[in-house]
Amino acid sequence: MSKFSLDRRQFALGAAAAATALILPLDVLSEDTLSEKVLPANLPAPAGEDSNDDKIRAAMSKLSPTAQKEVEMKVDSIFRKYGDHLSEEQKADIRRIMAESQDGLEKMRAFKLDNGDQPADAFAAYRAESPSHAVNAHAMKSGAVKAGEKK
Amino acid sequence: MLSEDILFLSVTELGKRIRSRHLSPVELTESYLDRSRHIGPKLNAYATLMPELAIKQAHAAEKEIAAGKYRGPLHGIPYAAKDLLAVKGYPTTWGARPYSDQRIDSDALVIKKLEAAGAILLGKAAMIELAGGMGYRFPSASATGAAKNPWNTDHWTCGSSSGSGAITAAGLAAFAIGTETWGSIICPSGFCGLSGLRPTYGRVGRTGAMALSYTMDKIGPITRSAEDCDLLLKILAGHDPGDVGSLPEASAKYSGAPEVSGRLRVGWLANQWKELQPAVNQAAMDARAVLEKSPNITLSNVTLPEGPWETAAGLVVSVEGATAFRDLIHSGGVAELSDPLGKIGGYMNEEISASDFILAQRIRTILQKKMEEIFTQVDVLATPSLPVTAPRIDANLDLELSFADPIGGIGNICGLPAISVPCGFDQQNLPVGIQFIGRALDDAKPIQAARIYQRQTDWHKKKPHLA
Repeated sequence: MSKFSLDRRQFALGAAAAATALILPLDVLSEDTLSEKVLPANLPAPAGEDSNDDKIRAAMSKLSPTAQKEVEMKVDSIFRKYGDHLSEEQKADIRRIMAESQDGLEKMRAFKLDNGDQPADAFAAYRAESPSHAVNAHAMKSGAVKAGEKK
Repeated sequence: MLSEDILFLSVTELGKRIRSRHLSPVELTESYLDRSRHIGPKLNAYATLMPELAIKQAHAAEKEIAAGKYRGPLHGIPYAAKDLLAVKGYPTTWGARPYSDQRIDSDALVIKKLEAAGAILLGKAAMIELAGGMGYRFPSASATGAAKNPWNTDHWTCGSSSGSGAITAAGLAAFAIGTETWGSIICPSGFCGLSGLRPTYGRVGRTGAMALSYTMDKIGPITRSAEDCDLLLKILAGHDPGDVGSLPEASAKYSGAPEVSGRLRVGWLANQWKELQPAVNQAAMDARAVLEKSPNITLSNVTLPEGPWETAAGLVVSVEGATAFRDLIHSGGVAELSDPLGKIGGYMNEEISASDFILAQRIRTILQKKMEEIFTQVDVLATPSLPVTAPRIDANLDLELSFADPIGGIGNICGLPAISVPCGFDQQNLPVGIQFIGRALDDAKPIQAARIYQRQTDWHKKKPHLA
């Protein structure tokens, strides 16, 4: 089963290891089930018993040499910045998650985009009196207290 | 003290009795407080109980109503708010030990709106630390411990609005306010047998709410019926000048879900979940059969577009969360969090490149257009809220709550409204939920679908047996 951790529990991993929706023709579905498969037991797929090192090796083996290097660079960057805060167990956890994350990232990067495909949070020029940007203008002017802002 | 039959009534019904003066807001508040004191700690449901404030507000409501100044259907109705909403004079801990002493000297906008409507704040609901923003692996990822499911206390409520789910399901309040960035209203509602609404992004103002993901955080009600969700959204919706993500008033305001005069086109997502527990499958098939029989619903099958939507959604939350909690990450303060993944998640999220983040935002725009196309064919999408029932309280969630959730990623990265309502139980007496998802700003349509379903069923009227 493709792995995704629900509910932003593990976004770093989830972001990468998430499966895209598997599209099957609807006639593949049997009449007495509303998913592709009904689990035989009451719980999801059983836990794997591989060690952390095995999981890291397995994840890295699926990656191109370039992607493997990217994982190593990111892990090195984390350890360089925050290594003093981390135990060996935490470092191993980070290695595994970063390795398992990379495949999904590669798939996202392969998504075809045209030059003109704009991001969802595009910048907008700002004038206080512009009706089309009234929302931002209000927010900038309001000085409203934000969560975590202590007075 | 009032009986359970009263305490488990819907907000709509409680409001009618208060208005007609057959029910006293003071007595109702005292009864919920008493129940909250006795049952709340057994469930780890509350972060802070606020009896002094609640009693004061209850007396004020009773006095006003007696004087003929009835404010509306929330007047005198007790509720709880997730502990990421600021309340002046009380701790706002965000569920996290590093913020256990935090006090914010103003009320969140939703708290102000509910107070203006005459609602009575009983307390702050427990939650997953930082709403799960640094990641978490265990239900115990909270300064107040794992929230226990009122239907079976060996099991979890789901997060991150864990206390909001426990409180409403256990009848400790008439409703609760939760938030969702990805799954945090739909999942607790599904696991706890509740009716929870995730409004369209930008419809409910977030001033005074903890920020995790500036472009994905939403605030919504967790209640006992779709009718109650409709009622609450009418109060909560509206432009927030302090929130850059807030919609203009003309779009943000919500006038309620009218009765369906013709037919609502419901598209069943047959392939949303790769695997379903047998009990979930059975409950979902039964729910589908109920919908098929309704003269107000036309049911068809719909498939989701294929693409890296979940990856893009996860990446947006990861990056925005890393900036929102930058100081905590850089200071090493994340080490004080409860969960092993929470202690390291921020470090990893900081490594996501700006290029990948913008890429995700570009993919997001394309997905928005694809979903708009789907909503030319149907009004509402439907699928089980979760493929499983609640895991055990000591579960490793990496193993037991780990599955692809395309509509969760799509719905949240596109800011689409959704509602989860109960549709059955498994053999362990754990609830199963069905969710309805709508087009952006069409919050009324998922509510209409859920309301049609609830008029034909009584799953939402069941209550757990608590000692």
